[in-house]
Amino acid sequence: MASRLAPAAHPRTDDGAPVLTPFVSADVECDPVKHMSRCWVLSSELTVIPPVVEDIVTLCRDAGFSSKQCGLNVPVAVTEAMANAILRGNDSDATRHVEITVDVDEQRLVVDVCDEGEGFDLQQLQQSPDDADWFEREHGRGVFLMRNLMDHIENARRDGQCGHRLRLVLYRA
Amino acid sequence: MSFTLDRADDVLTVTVDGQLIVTNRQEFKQAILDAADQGVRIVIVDFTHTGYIDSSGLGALVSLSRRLRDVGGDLRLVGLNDDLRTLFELTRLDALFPLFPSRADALASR
Repeated sequence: MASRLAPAAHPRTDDGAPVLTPFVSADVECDPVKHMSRCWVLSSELTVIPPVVEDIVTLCRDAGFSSKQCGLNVPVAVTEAMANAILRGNDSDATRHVEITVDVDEQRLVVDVCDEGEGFDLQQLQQSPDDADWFEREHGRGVFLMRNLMDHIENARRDGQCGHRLRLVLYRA
Repeated sequence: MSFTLDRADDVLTVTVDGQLIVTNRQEFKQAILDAADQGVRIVIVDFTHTGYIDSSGLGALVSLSRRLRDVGGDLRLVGLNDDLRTLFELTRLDALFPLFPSRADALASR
C-alpha cells in the first residue's frame, strides 16, 4: 500500500505546481510520521467544516508545520475552500457532496476540495485591499485569503468527472 | 464555538469562544445587530479565547462596524493573538478596527 502512495520526488507540472499522487483509499497511513493521506466525502452542510479542518491541522502539526501555519494559514484557507465548495459550488444543496483529499508530508501539504458545481475563473478573482470597497463590503475576501495564506492555489474541472476542484498547497515553514 | 454577551448600559462585550467562521457568523452578527437596535453603541469583541477567523467572520465584523458607526457607535476588538493580528494586518483591516490589548483599554478610550 505504501509503495502506491508514497510520493517520489514531488514532481511538478510545467507551470511549477506540485503534482499530487492519486488517492486510492478513504484513509491511508503510508508512514505514521512522514506521509499521510486522507479523504472525506461529505454532504454540503457547513457543519462538516470544523471537524475536517481540525483533522487537517492535526496532520500538519504531526508533520512539523509551524505554529502559525497550524493556527492561521491552514485552518483559514481550508475553511475558505470548503465554504466556497458548499455555498457556491454546490449551492448549499445537501444532497450534493464535497470531497476533500489531503496529502501531507514533512515538506508540503496539498488539499483538494471538490464540489459538483461548474467552477469559476480563479484568475478573474483578484480581490485586494486596494479595492475601493474593501473596507465596506461584507463578502469577497476568501480567495484573497487563500492566495495569501497558501504558497499555491489552482482550480480546474475534475478530469473525467463532473464538478470542480480547488487545490491548496503549502510548504512547511 | 459559542458567544457570551455581557451588556452594561450602552456597552456590549462579546466573548468569542472558539472560531468566528462561516458556520456561526450569522448568529454572531444577529446578536450584535439586535443589541444595537436596543441601544447598544459600543461593542467590544473579545478574541482572547478565539482560534481563528475566516473571511465570513471578517465580513461580519466589517458590516457591524459600519452599522455601529452609522448610529454614532464603535466596534472595538480585544485580545488578538499573534495569528489573529497577522490576519488583520494581511487584510489591512487593522486600519478599520481599533485594536486593544484588554477590555479595560477598550473601555478607557471612550
